[in-house]
Amino acid sequence: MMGAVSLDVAMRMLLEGAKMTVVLSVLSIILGLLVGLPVAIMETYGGKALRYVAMVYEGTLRGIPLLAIYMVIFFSIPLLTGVGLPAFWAAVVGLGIRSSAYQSQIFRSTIQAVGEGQIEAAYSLGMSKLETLRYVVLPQAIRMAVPAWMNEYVIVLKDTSIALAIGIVELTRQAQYLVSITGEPFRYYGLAALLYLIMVLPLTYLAGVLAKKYGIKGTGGASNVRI
Amino acid sequence: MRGKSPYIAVVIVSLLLAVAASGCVSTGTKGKVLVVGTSADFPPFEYKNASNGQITGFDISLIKLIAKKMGYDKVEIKDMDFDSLIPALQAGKVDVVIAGMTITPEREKVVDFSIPYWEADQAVLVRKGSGIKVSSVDDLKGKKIGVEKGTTGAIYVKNHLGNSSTIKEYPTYVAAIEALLNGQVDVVVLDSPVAKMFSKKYNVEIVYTIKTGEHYGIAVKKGNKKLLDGINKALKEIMNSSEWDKLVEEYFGS
Repeated sequence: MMGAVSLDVAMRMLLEGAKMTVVLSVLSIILGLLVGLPVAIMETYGGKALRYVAMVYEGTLRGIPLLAIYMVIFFSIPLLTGVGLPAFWAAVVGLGIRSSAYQSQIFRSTIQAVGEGQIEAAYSLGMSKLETLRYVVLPQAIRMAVPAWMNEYVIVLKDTSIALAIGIVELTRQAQYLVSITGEPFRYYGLAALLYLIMVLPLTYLAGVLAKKYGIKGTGGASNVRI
Repeated sequence: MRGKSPYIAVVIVSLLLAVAASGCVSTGTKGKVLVVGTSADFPPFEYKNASNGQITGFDISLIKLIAKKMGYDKVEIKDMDFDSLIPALQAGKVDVVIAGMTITPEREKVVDFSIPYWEADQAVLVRKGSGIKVSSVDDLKGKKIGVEKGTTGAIYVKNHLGNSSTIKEYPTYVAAIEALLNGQVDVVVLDSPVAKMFSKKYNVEIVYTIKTGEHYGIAVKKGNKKLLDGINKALKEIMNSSEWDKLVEEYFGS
């Protein structure tokens, strides 16, 4: 019942785990984007109250370890309210809102990086605040955010492993299973690490390519400068 | 226009929450499904069978027998960290926990246990050829001791050797064994049945057994008397029948 496991079987288990890692990270980063971008706009363009709400939101979530966020969502909330999310959705929401806090800071900084002069110019052309945001600020802010955003995705992808605490069987958990039945930690944690790297390296490369493609010529960083 | 975009934000956030909530199904004994929590890194009590991907083991077979006797149609296994099991029980994420869990007074304050189904002691593991000799608990003084976080082994060494030894806690048994093999710790203290299993697979050996006479029990949410009575009745029947011997033979025979 226990002992050696063929490489075929082991890889099947690990790839199954990797699939969960990817699904979880993609859903989380999207949730993080859908929440994080509005939070960034609230923090830069909102009135006093909205700005305060956004700051408390991102400050709180950035200040709590992901594991603790999971414990609150998966255990504390059901205990207090009697209803809760199943493990998978708890994992998506936990990782997603944590990422939204970090993404809000990425977008806040790039929104603020759009020159004052451009905004004044937009106003003087008769554009409203919303139009200025929509047609002048956001197109540039989002383009400038690409490298940092890709980096955030890599972080989210790696942090999916923390979801094993609430019962998500992702890559690291599958490796743990294999180690506990075979007694070969070096091999299976090594394979899992390799799979993470295989997932992450193309993304890092893609981040560089996208930064070049969508970077605004003449602004921001050496990657856009052709000598 | 001032402040309009934040309204859009609020709308998006609430939409998302609604989507998330629609995926929300509160778990429970819907129909006749027994939801079982375990931590599948404790062979041979619970582990993942690599050839079919199923979580299996002595505890899993036992709870399936119990569930069948109690008239459940299906057993749903939820695997998580050992430390998360009791919170999961309290939060209603699982109906029962079977995970080689020792009945302790501390745990009995927060959950209810079935009658004991297994007796275990704490074994002291060392690397083969390390020359470390242990003939009493006192011999562990001054040693670096590895344990799994939250286990009775961890509680035991903290209470008895907390002042005189360095205690390192690991998230899983395997991590503790690995630390032993790497030389990060001198000994590992863990439940004897699992220590025996590990001593067959790793380059480690049992040099001493601390007689703690611990009992494993099946945990249910505090006050869930109906479920507990059913479990106890079924457990007694199984332990007094040949099914029990078959189970023991299957997982501890070789």
